[in-house]
Amino acid sequence: MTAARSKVNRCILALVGGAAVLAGGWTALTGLARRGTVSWAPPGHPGEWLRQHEPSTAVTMGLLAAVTAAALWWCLAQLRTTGPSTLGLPGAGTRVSRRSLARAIAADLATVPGVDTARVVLRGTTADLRATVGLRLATHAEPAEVIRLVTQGPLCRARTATGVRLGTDLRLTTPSHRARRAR
Amino acid sequence: MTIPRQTSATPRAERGTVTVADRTVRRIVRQAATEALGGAGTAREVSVARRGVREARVRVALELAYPTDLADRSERVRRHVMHRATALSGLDISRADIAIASLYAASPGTVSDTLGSRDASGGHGPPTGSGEAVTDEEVPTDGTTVARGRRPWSGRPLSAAATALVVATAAGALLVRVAPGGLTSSSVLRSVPLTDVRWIGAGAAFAVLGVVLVVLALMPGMRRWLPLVRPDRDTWAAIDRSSVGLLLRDAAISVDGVSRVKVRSGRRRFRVRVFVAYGSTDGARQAAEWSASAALGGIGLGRAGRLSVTSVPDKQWRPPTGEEAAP
Repeated sequence: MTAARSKVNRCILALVGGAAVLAGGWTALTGLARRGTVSWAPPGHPGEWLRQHEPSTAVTMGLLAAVTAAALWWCLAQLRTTGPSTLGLPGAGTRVSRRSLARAIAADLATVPGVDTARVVLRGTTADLRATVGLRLATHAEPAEVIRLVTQGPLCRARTATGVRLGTDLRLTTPSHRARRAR
Repeated sequence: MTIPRQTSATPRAERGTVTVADRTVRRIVRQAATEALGGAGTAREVSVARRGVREARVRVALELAYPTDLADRSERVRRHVMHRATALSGLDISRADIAIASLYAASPGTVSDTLGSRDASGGHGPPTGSGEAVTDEEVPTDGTTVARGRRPWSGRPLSAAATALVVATAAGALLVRVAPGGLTSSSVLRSVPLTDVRWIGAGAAFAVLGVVLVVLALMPGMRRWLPLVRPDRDTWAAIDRSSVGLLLRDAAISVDGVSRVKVRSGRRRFRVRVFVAYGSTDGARQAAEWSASAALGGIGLGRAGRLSVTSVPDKQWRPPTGEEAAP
């Protein structure tokens, strides 16, 4: 998930949410006012207003078709999480397979003491490559120490190997296990 | 006898042609790539595209040892392949595309020298903008924001996909109704029976849903993750909240006399409750608090959470006897 898409997602949620509040609130309040339950009714009626400014059928249909297509496209865009299958390396014209690079970094991470398993997902393009790293720690590993080792070892090597900044999100978990009492 | 004389007499263009088969070029390229890699990888696939009789383009898929400077190593392979293939095949190799198809873990001994090659060669400048980024940066001194760690924000992919799907369905349904010969958009709106209780209820529910969407848009989300101290400028770290709970539990259970531990790990506060089987409950509480706070320090949370430790006697608690209480 790139930062830009996250922002667009949140804007869409806010816009649709705001529209839903206005439309739903208007429907409920107008209905209640007509039944006499509440004394205040929101002014106007969008249907009446629209009758006076009725757009041509072509315009209406064009708008609706555009909204439908855009919404479907955006829905499908959420499925694309990573990007193209190969990454160009800066400087040279070489391309590297995104998955094998991610696997190689993950294998390197798994050699760090205290790391049980590592999963790496590379997102974005060479200009803004980001890695999301899921680290499952060994049972008695100390997170701060593991992070220090991971940053100085595999992450530093990955940044040197690719020649990009590689913004990295480390996500640490410890496996759930039974409490072992010291006897 | 007579034959050599005849051939030498024929014009040069009719003497015959030398044809280099694609297969031969592929072998030469593969061999050259393997030479250039020097054991730090192999050429897996080579393809040759001929452009006329004397020109060819090649494409090499490599399998490289990782970690290594990928751009530098593939550039060396490219230059060597072009040089050797041109010399050996007599063709004009106008272009060599290098793709790194897979990477395998290098044996530990070769790690340092393969990575140090960029600094040693010096011929190729570091890629644009990455020179400063790759250098070893400790936690910068210019701001506390870097060290503290930001709370991770969710990208809201699921909510956005669901909302987009609902909007698409609604707009599509309206499109079908407004289609030529059907209704106009104003008549659709005016046909709503506003005084119908079901419509009032639906409107209220819709408004509540809208509030939920706005809240989703404004809140960070990812409440499961707690930010950790950032190790450097390009790295963020977060730990699962229940994992913090497990680490605190492990720390508290190791205390003498503690039989069970319950931990509630919130986003700002960690409550540890120890059940004491024998000995002084207050002593066990103090030891557990010391142990848990040491464990919390070892986690390195970006915002140090509050730790509160309480102790209760377990069901079969035995009060401290003289010999047990002595030390």
